[in-house]
Amino acid sequence: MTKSVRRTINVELLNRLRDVLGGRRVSHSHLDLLNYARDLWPRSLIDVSRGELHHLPDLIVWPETTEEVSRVLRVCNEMRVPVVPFGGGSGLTGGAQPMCGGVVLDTKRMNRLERLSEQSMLAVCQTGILGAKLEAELNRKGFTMGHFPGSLGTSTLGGYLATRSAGQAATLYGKIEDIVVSLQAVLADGTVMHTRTAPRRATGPDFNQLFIGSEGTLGVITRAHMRIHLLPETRAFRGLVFKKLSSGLEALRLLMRAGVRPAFVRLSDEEDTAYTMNALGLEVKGCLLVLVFQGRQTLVELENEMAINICRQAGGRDHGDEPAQHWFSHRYAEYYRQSPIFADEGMIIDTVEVATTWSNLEKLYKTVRTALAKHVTVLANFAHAYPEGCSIVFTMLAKPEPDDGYKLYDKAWDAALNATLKAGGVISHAHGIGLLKNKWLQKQNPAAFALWRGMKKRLDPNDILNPGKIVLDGEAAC
Amino acid sequence: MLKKFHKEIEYCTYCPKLCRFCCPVGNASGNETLTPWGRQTLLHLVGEGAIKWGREVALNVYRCTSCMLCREYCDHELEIPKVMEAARIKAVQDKVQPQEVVEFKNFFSERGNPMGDDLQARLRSLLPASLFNPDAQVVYFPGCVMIYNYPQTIKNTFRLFEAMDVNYVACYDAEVPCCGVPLKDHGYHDEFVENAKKLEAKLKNAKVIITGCPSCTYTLKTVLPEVGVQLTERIYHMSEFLAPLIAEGKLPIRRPYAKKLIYHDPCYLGRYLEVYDQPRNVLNEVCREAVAEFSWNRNKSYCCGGGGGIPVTNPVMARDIARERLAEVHEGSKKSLVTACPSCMRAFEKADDRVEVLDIVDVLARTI
Repeated sequence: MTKSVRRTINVELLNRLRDVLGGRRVSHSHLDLLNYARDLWPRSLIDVSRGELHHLPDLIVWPETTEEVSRVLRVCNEMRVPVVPFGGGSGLTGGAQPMCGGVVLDTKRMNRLERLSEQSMLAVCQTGILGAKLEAELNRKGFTMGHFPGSLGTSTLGGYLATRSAGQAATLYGKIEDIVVSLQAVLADGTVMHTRTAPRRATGPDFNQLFIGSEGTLGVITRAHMRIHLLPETRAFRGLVFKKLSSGLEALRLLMRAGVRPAFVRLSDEEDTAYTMNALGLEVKGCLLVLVFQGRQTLVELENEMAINICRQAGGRDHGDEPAQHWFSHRYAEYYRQSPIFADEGMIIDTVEVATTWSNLEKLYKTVRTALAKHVTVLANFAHAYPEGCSIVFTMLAKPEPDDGYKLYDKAWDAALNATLKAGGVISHAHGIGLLKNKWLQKQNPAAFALWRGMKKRLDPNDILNPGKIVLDGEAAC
Repeated sequence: MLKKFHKEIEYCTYCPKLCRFCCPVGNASGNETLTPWGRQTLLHLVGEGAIKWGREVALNVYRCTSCMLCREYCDHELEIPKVMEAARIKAVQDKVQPQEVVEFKNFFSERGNPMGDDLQARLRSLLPASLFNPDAQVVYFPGCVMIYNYPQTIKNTFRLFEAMDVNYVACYDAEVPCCGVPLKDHGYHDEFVENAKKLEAKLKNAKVIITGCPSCTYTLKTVLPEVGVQLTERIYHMSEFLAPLIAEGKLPIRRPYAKKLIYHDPCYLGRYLEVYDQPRNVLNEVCREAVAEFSWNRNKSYCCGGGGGIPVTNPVMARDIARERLAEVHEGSKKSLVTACPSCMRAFEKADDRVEVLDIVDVLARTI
């Protein structure tokens, strides 16, 4: 009956894991396996719409402590069973798909904000905590972590760390690698390792960075010390419109150079302004730049004033606070559109998020945009601005023919990432590699890729941790 | 299957799980299947013929507290508990409902209520006979959970009426003591309709009905008309009835309530009936200190775990959900929890005996 393959239960594995966790926190229910067979990679929307889920795990486990994670990994390592660490399953690249079956290790029962140090401005968290829950807990106590990805309601801290996530306020608070201070990770053989909590260090290479972005292939991150900030005293909103995209980009670059740090930045190209912003109820022509400043009143007022002056000098027309305020209050709305777009219009929506330096930004934009536009409708915005450069988020809207399957989707991605490499960009700014981008990762930097393979072999000689991801090609790893 | 809910099922299946952080069952279990996304995906896969509708799928549709918090975080305003309710009805029709549910329904049918005791006798022993007037136009309907677990709150209700010179309210005699919501929650539609008809016979003359329980208020006011039973339109929760009287100064307050309180919005009173201000207004009239708020409050209030039949089908989960809500009560200075729903009170008391849990009526009664 089922179009998904049922796997044979490994009774010894089941019993050993039950010995570790008890019966209630180990599942081999076929229905659970189906719900752990996909993450939010839009490609799997096609699969689930047809009732075809191809990559089911054998078991799901819910450890509650680092010690339990360690014991689970020891069992799996001894038995050479793949383990896929799983937070919210909100990744967009197939990174949490259990390509080779095995055990899905769901971290969401490790979900506590364990301690908050007001003196050192640190939050000590288990990594299975959902972003929205963590932020709500911190807000209640007067703090924020400043990390607001679009997936905030469904993604976990561990997921952020494992994929090098960026939030909408990354320009002010940094990406997740800037927010984490130290972490605890469990290696494939069950060894628990910690990095020491200190503001900065000069103790050799930074082992935090070994695990951040490793997408569950080198270890399971179970606890982290995260930087926190006081809740903002006030916010200021500004919307400015530029006739030309290049003027808007120049304004953004000058803001960064002047040390002005809006928390939220989004410069839309003309198409994004027309489609996305107008869908949010903003009737604007041209390229809309929204800026949201937050923090201490005096600083916010000063930065807002500086930003208006810089943007005006670069050719921006000041539209007051309303466009930015409106965008801010609807900033998660675009993520809800995925369902009607797919269910009602038969279209797939996905985002290609790349980054480069200011000097190369327009070239990257034009090259990728041209390549993508041959296959799909393209909109673009520039968010997450930094002193050195900026990310570009291309939104693609693809309408595959009924029998097309993945063809159109895959062609668009091929075109986008080939163009990104050709134009000197990096193939991901914040969503990670997973199954989607590993082919291009190798091309992006062959020497680094070889080094990565070596580390993987050293840290996980039996290749049990999330096999097929980042450095190996999907099913070929199984 | 469930064609009427095609949009809900498809939208949820293809959604990036944007409401998942607020689902009490999803949070308590950590399981993807037990989120709105996971349950709806299963119904979608049934529709696609990928899996069979049967006992295993049905078990998962019974794992929803009906709290409706997911709707508050859904831009499409999808009401997932209604899909779960329809799926439960189908489960009962197809005889694939969980065994605990069958046993619960049999118990209810044998005893005439979900508590098992003679609730009519219990109620009559609480109050003087003069308060049971079958011809009264204004009737107080306490609800079965209140009669069984909180008789003192019923006594306090009539103490308040007396103190405010409200002498026109009679107590419903509880021959049919339950509004039927547990039958509805468990998918027993026909039995729910049968119970509704019995209630109609008992309550048809009432011009005003006041209840002590928000799920009774919602059921009598909104659900019964959906099955063809139209009682009076003037059906109120106790807090709605009391608020204007207290605002007019009818309650003779002798000593303001001095202990610190935190107010919990019951799901049925809040999201279902949209009654948020009246309980707060009533409490703030009689409390010396402002009543504290949970960080998740009003339409974003978090569930107590007592709804949707979860205490029957999964008592451990119900307890875990209640404990998550109660964690905030233990922070900072000592306080008691006050709410306006006997099912919430019961859920909290069963989960944690360190917390004093009160109905707003009990708080008011302590001030006169």
